Amino acid sequence: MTITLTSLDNVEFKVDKDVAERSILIKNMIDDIGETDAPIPLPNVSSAVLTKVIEYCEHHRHDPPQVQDESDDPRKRSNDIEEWDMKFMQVDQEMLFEIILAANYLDIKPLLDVGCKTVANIIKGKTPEEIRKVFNIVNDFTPEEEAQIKKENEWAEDR
Amino acid sequence: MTRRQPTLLDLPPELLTRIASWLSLCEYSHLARTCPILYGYLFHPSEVVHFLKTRYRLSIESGSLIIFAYLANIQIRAPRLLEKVFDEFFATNLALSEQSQKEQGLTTSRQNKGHLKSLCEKALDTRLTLIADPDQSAMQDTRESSKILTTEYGPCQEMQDVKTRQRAKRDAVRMLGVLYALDKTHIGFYQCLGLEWSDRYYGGICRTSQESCTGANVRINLGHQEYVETSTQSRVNPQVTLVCALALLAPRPLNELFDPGI
Repeated sequence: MTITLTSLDNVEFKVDKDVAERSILIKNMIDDIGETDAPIPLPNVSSAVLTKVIEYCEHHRHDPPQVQDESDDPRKRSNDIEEWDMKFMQVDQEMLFEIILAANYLDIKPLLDVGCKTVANIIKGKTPEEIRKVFNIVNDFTPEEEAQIKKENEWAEDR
Repeated sequence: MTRRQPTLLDLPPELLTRIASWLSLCEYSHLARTCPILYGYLFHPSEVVHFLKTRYRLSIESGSLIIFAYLANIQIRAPRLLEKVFDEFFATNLALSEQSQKEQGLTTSRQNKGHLKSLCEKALDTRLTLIADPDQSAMQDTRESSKILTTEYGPCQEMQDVKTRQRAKRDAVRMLGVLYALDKTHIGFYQCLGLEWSDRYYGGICRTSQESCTGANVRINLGHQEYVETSTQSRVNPQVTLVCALALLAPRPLNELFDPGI
């Protein structure tokens, strides 16, 4: 069975049910309304992003279903990303954040995790100034505030 | 129909939390220091406590979060964070204590109210005495004080109102400051108090027959398990020191409060 998804910009995507159901949001919608030919609107996801999300779901269509209450193990490392996923995430920053937002909205936990790990990997090993540069963050702190905060955070950074 | 391209700052807080959960504490701090928005969110005490709990598996119940706070000297370096830790500590222990009381049908008393304050003050007095007169007579006074303290200082089984909890929290914060000062001056809390008490309910803390201030064994009996600390130096493991102190503070049995593995 195929499901029709409609993106923010009114582009329709036909996908297999098991692919669409990688999204818990869509799975719950299908469970609630029953099988229907009517397109499922996804007003928060653009066609460009939905294309990427569908690509991810198709690649992972045979993965075991995600467990809703699975607790994250913090001891897992952020660099344990599969090779395919790592290549999949080699996109520009705007697309990366769009994918993360879409994964959050569509409730696709594995995709959300990969996205968050990718961002964390970008942050790792960088100074605050380098992080600002990478993410185009404007430094609104005054020099005095910055010095004060640096001092206040010493306990976290000298360990 | 187009939308503005999102940036890191456009992510909702729960996603920032999720990203941060893959960072080390140092990297977390670096990220927080980039701008006021991230700092305001990531370094809010509740968020830091949440980060420490999820990222490092520290917990209030096991005592590991308090030990971390103590070892990082949070009481001086991040007092608001310590406030939050103790908010949770007393809230958690109050809830567990009440649950325990319901289950066991124990009758409780309020006899120990106010003793935390005197404990801190006496510990401070002791420290001052030791600085002024570090001879045997000072240690003798200390042991006498400690006997009074350890005899009188039983379990705080009933902390019914917010005022009591706030007071206990304030005293605990002071206690950490005292302990840290004692550890830093190579005295050691238990040695200072000469702890020699045992209580089958709390698990005994006993000292060997060695009377010297240097070199001592501390055995913390956690029911069926024991944690033994042997120190051949003048300074004991601060974790043991803290466990001893919190044994006095804890409104519930030590063996339920702490992981034996710490």
